[in-house]
Amino acid sequence: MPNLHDIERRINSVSSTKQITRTMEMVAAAKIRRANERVQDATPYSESMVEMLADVAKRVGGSENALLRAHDEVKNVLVVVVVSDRGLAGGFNSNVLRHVDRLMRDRQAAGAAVKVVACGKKAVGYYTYRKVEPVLKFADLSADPTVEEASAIAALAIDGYVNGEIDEVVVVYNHAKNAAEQQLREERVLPVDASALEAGAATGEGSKLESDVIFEPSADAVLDRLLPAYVRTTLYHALIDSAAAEQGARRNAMMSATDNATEMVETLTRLYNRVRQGAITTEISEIVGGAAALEE
Amino acid sequence: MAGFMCDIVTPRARLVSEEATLVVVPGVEGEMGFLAGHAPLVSVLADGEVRMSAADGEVRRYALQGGYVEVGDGKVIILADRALPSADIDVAQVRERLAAIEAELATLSEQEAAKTTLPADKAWCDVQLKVAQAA
Repeated sequence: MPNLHDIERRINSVSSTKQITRTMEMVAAAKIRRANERVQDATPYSESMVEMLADVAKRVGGSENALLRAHDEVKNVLVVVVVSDRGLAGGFNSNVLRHVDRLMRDRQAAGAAVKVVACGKKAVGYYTYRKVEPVLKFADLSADPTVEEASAIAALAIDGYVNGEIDEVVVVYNHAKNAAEQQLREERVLPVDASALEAGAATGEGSKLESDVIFEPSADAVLDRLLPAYVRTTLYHALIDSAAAEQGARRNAMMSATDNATEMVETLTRLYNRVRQGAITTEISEIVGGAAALEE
Repeated sequence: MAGFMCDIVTPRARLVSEEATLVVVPGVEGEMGFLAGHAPLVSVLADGEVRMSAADGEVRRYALQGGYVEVGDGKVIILADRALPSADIDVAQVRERLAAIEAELATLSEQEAAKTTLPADKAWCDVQLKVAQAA
């Protein structure tokens, strides 16, 4: 029979944990709004960017831009891993890391070397522990990603790609489908898939620009400038999307933790009462037994 | 005079979206002005100043770094890496920041500096100062 004191101590510990998880849940819920606002703020830019790029790419046609051309052989792959700085967000981080591991195994089996860019402390820790040195790492930014961070990654990726040191760039992150649901996404950043862009623009409201557009200085020059910016935008979008998803995932995880704690306190309280009642019953029967023995 | 919609959008947020009668932007090959009904155009922008004559007759100025302008369909969209209304530029603060950047750049070799965002930050400070002085 468990000791009354022990049960009481466990009840206390579970309730204080519950207090923490409930607070974290509420904090995450408050942060979701801010993170979603940021995604919404950034959407007009990336939408206009995609639209413009699709338009230009269509006009320039079969451009020889280095960023559009796929390399014949994929020998070096750069994977941008976007996770959070903190844990306690359910499967948020492990889903991404597991997916990347699988991706790495596949690519390595195909004879390609894989380099990693780690965004978020959890990824930095994960790869350092596994003796994979990330080529670029960012910590303490997952809750508040900056354009500069995205620019740094984009600069590295573009440089490598143009110089032929990298043949493919992939970003893996959690997409915030809505406040309660996250979706793992793997996107190919480089080479830029021009046909997909055009298809995306075509299925949209169609090209807003008429057929004869003036390009200054020239269509090619505009494209040369737009593509790196597009890569940067894609990466920035992945970062803020992941930040929004992180808060959503944390709120979900904390909500279920709070629910579990409530249930546990209930079970423990019941056990506590049963044990206490048992102790009282034993005591009474002892007293009665003792009194009966005295009478005899 | 007929107006048209002018948006200034940065990766962080939509900075401006309002009716304008004239927008002058710093194109890479010189300044360009747009009136309503301009032919469709896409251009790369240089760092500099955007002047927008709003529908209420007021001229608003914005500092702008790196971007593109898309004209068409009765709309002018300016995509900028960074942008700020001239009224929001705090000259003293920008000067301070510029000094800090220059000090940091002095400690780095040219090659190292190229890897950081410092040159871009410095250019951004310069643009802000120029626009603030012109205003």
